[in-house]
Parts: sequence; structure tokens; C-alpha cells
Amino acid sequence: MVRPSLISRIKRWLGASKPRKLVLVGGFAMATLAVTSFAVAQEPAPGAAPTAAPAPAGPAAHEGAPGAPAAEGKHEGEGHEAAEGHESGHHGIEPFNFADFDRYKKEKEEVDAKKRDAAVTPYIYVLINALVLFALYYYLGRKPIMAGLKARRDAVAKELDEAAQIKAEAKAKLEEYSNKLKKLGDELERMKAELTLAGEKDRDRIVKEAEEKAERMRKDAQFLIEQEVKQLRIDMLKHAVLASSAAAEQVLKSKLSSADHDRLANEYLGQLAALPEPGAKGAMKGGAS
Amino acid sequence: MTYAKIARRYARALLELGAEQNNLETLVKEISAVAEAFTSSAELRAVVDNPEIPRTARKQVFVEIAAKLGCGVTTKNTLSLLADASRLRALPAIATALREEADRSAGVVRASVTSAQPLGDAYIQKLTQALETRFKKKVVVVKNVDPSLLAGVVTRVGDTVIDGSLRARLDELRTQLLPA
Repeated sequence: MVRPSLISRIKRWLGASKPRKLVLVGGFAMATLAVTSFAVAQEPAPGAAPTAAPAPAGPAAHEGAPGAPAAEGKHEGEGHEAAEGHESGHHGIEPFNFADFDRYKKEKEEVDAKKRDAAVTPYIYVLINALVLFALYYYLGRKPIMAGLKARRDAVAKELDEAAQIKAEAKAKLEEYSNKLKKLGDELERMKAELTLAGEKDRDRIVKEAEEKAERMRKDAQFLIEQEVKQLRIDMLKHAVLASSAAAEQVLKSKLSSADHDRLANEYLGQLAALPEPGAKGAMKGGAS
Repeated sequence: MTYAKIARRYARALLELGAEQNNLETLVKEISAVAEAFTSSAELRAVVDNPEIPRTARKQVFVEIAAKLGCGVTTKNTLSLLADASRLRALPAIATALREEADRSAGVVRASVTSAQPLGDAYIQKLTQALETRFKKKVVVVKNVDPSLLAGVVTRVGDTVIDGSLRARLDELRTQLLPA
């Protein structure tokens, strides 16, 4: 039953605002200090004598030296027995002095008279000192601490904003990449189709160009062959004509007789008479041929 | 270097001299003989072309050649004049021009007749008559032989050529057969 309550309180505390946390921490510190100071105030000063009568027993009895175990066991066991121990002269817890200034004064006189070692300070002094200390802390440290806390809060808020922004950007990126990943398949298909189409176009273009080039080369080769054949035919014809002409000349040289010479000379005379008049068109060179 | 204009002027002068002295044909023959000697003799051409030979010595050489050829005074004087004027190189052109001028003045046409074999006198006479009929002038035939004609006759009158040779027929046939 206690644990859920304690856990819920801790959760509430953890969920509280910073000023409230400060107040809670400060109250807890003050309570701790009060309890501690109360305990210190109850602690007898070293060598302090019992209030009712001077302690017959020495430091040995106070420290629980061997020989007094029974009495010490009684002090720690029960409160009324402790009161009895004081009355019987044993060393024990003195009554709490909250604000008894007369008692403090009396104990100071006993200390001066060397009847006791120290006087029990009124607890109100300790409390006042603590309050003054906390007031000084509050007065001197409130502004710097608050400013530091505020700066830290701003820095943390800024970091939180940045973190939120980064988170939002990362989320957007995540969403973008998720969408891209989702569309990646479609994109790949589209790119594949485009590349295939472009490749087919290139293939068609290259094939067409190659065919055109081949056609041009074929026509050029055809033309070249025709020219070569034509030139060869001309050369062969020239050769044949020259050879036949030379052969004919040789035959004529060997076969011509004086009668042939006379016949040609006489033919020349006949042709000379048949030529057109000098100055007329076609009169001359080779006219008798 | 051609001497056509110079030769024509000298030829006209010689023509007038020949006409005055009534020995034009002789003069033409003498000038032609010296011109032929000049054309056929390399030494004689060297004498004309060599500038180291004095003009008087050059003149003397040609006068002596004319004397050996039996040329008259007019021919010798002509050669002396040509030597003094350094026109001896024009002698062949002068001879040709003189022949042409003499033929023109006499109304004669000179025909160069070339054949593969020597032509007989009867044929030359017929050819002369045929040419005179054609050109309506007196024709003097100069005969030449060129075996490369194979057969037939080629006549040249001035710028006119009448080719009846077998060579011409063969050439024409070859030209017709050969592609353009």
C-alpha cells in the first residue's frame, strides 16, 4: 500500500515544474538540516557533566567502558531508566533546549567556573542561523540561479526545438525515401521502357544510316566499276585500233605494188578535178581522200 | 626570231632589181642557192653567229661563196649589204620571200608535190594541168618523195593541202575508229 503511494508521489514530483521542484528540494534540505541540528543539539558536549549532579563516573562510564555494561544496556533500552540513570549520576542525553536562555546563561557560568565543559546552545540560535543562511542563499543566489536555470531551460528548449525540427526533417526524408522506394519499381520500369525505346530508335537510326551508307558505297562502287570498265574498253579499243592500224600499215607496205601506186596516183588526179573550187566550203585538207 | 617583214622588204627590192635588169629568174636562183648553202652548212651558220669574226671577214666569206656558186654582181652586192647590216641570218627567209614575190609577179603558183615513190614526167604534166585548171594560174611543181606516205600523192599550194595519200586514209580511218 505504501509503495504505490510513494511511487505516485515521486512521479508527481518528477512531473512538477522547476520552481516547485526547487521549493520541494529546499524544504527537504531544511527539514534534513533541522533534524540534523536537533540531533546535534541533543548530543552532549564532550566532557559535559550531568545537570543534577557532577558525574562521579569518568569518561570510562560515558564511553561504556568494561565494568558498566549492565547500566549502559539500561540507558539504551528504555527512557525512564535513562532518567533514572541521570538521577543516579550517570552520563545521558540532556533535555532539549529550544529557547531557554536562562539555562544557557547558567550553563555558561558553570563552564566559566569549570564545572562543565560546554553549554547547550538554545536550538532557536541554530534555527536562526539556518534561516539567515538560507535567506542569504535566496537573496544572493536567486537571480543567478534563476538566470542560469532559465538559460539552461532556453538552451534545452532550443535543443528540443532543433531536435524536433531534425526529427521532422528526418521524418520527411523518411517519408520521401519511403515514397521513392515505393515508386522505385515504377521508376525503374519507366526508365527501362525509355531506355528500350531510345535503344530501339538508335538501332533503327544506325541501321538506316548503315543502309544508306552501304547504298552510297554500292552506287559509288558501281559507278567506279562502270568508269573503269568504260576506260578499259576505251583503252582496249585504242589498243586494238592502233594495233590493227599498224598491222594494216605493215600489210600495205608489204603488199603495195607499182601498179597500186599508179592506180592511187591516177585516182588522185580524178579526185583533184572533183574537188570544189578554192575558197569554197570543205575544200581542202584531205579533200582527195 | 623571225625575219618575215625584213625578208619581204629585201625581196621586193630584189624583185625590182631583177625586173630592171631582166634577170629576175637568175637572181632568184642565185639567192636561193646561197640560202640553201647557208641552211645546210653548220660552219657557215657558225661564221654568222660568232661575234668574234669581224664583219668584213664575214662579208668576204659570203662573197667568195657566191663567186664559187657563179652568182652575179647583184647577188654579191646583196650579200655584202646583208653582212654590213648584220642581216645574214635572214637570208633563207629573203630567198623564200623573193621566190614568192617573183612567182606572184609572174602569175605563177608553186606546188609542192610529195609522193611515196618518184612520179613520172607524164604524171607530173597531168598533175600540173589539173592544178592549173583548179587554181586558174600557171603552176610550177616541186617534186618530193616521202615513203611514209605509203602510196598516193600530197600537194601543197600555199596554205592549201590536197592529201591523197594512203597514210592520210589510214589516219582518218584510225581517227574514226578511236573513241573521242
